[in-house]
Amino acid sequence: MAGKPWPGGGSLRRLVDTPWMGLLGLVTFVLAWHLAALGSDPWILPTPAETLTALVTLARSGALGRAALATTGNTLTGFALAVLIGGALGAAGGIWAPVRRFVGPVVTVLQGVPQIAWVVLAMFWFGISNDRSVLFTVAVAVLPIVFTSVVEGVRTVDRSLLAMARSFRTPPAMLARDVYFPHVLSYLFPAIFSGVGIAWKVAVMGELLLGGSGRTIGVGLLSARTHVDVPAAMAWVLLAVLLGFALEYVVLRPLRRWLEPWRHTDEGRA
Amino acid sequence: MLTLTAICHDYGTGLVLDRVSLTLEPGSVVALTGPSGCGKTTLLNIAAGLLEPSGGSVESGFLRAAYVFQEPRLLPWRTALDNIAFGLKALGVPAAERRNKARTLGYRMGLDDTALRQYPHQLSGGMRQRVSLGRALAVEPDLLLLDEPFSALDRSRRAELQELLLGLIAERRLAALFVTHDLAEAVRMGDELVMLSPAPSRVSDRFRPDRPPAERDDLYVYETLSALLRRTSQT
Repeated sequence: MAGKPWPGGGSLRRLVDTPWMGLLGLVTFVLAWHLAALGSDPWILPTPAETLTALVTLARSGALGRAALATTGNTLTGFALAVLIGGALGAAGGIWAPVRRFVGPVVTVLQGVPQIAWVVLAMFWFGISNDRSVLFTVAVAVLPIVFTSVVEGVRTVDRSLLAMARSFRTPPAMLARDVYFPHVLSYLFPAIFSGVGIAWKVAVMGELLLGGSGRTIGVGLLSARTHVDVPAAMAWVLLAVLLGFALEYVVLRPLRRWLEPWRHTDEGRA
Repeated sequence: MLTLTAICHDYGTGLVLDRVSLTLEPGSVVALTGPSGCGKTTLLNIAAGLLEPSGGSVESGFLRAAYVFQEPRLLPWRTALDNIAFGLKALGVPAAERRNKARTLGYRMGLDDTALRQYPHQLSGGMRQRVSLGRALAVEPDLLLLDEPFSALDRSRRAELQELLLGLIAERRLAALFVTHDLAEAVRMGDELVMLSPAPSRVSDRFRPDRPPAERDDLYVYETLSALLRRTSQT
């Protein structure tokens, strides 16, 4: 509570109001993990330090870098497919109501299919140990989110801006680029943020169950399981989590800042 | 010259305009007033060629019309400068040239470089409407269509922008069709006032102020206004 003195002095009170609380939470989590690991068999739960050591070993062997690249590639390619197809369908559905009525229910059905079911179906349709099955699984899992957000984006474009553009006889290509696209982006980005999280997890799951051609994170996890190498398994999990974060904060958020600079300005002299 | 003859319009819910006629000469301002919902905006859209009237004829000798709306209708994702340049972009003017034109015009509209770099949400209401006016003027129209452009502004901002607009109209010899529900504004701005009755609207009165706009001070506006109101209540 702001304004009320915190029992035990000012420094602790200042801490609870800052982002450092988040770091404190993470440190507590790692500490609890460490204590739990000390009390259990190393075959079952390695300590954080052992996990890090396993991660470094994997990195030194080059397997880590290769897997990180391959899985990021799978995620982004599958995701790009979903954005292209879902975006095109969504734009058409946003503009023409018949397209929306035609495609909408199909997309709802796709969205209802559990992701693990897509993996099973991909085995039948594309076979195992190839990239196409993984890409298909990722794309089909993310496509409904992209479609829905683009439809909503196109439909909610400010009518008064369209009338303004019409009064200047704006050509269709410019109307799409200067009026529709920036507005749709504001709907698409939140969908991309949640979609990439899903794509990332589905990619690792697909890689583990479908194999795939590359030495991916999923394949690494599978091999750790085969060798009952728990520290290595934990290291792969850690890598997946870290890369997921990196994707959002190193790729997507800067991309949004670049595409939507107007959102990142302070209130001026208004 | 713009000539509207016996314009009728019906959106399918009854007659909105009933045989409205008016003439707009190059370099002159016609102020169109009337109660809200009387079809002023409809008439403006018809004059702009954005709407086909149900009846009557529109003859326009003007080469290019530009529209200023009641709300600024700026693109939130474009800077003030790029918003001014919007119409030029629609005409296919290359980027460097349209930015230069927009900047020069922005200065004339009373916007400095800082303001021109800002996005609409960072600007005040008055500045946003200056950008909107600049966007219309950038395409070098010979006919301006204004739909209550200053009605959302406070008194002093409105007076500033009225003066700016009158200056620009004189400077560029523009014709303007100026819709307003504010009779005082109509007296201040118009070379001719056309007053519409409630829907289905007809022209209820026409009036020409006997002084040029530059010489219409507050006293003149209020005296003319009261004379007009007396005249209206007698008929």
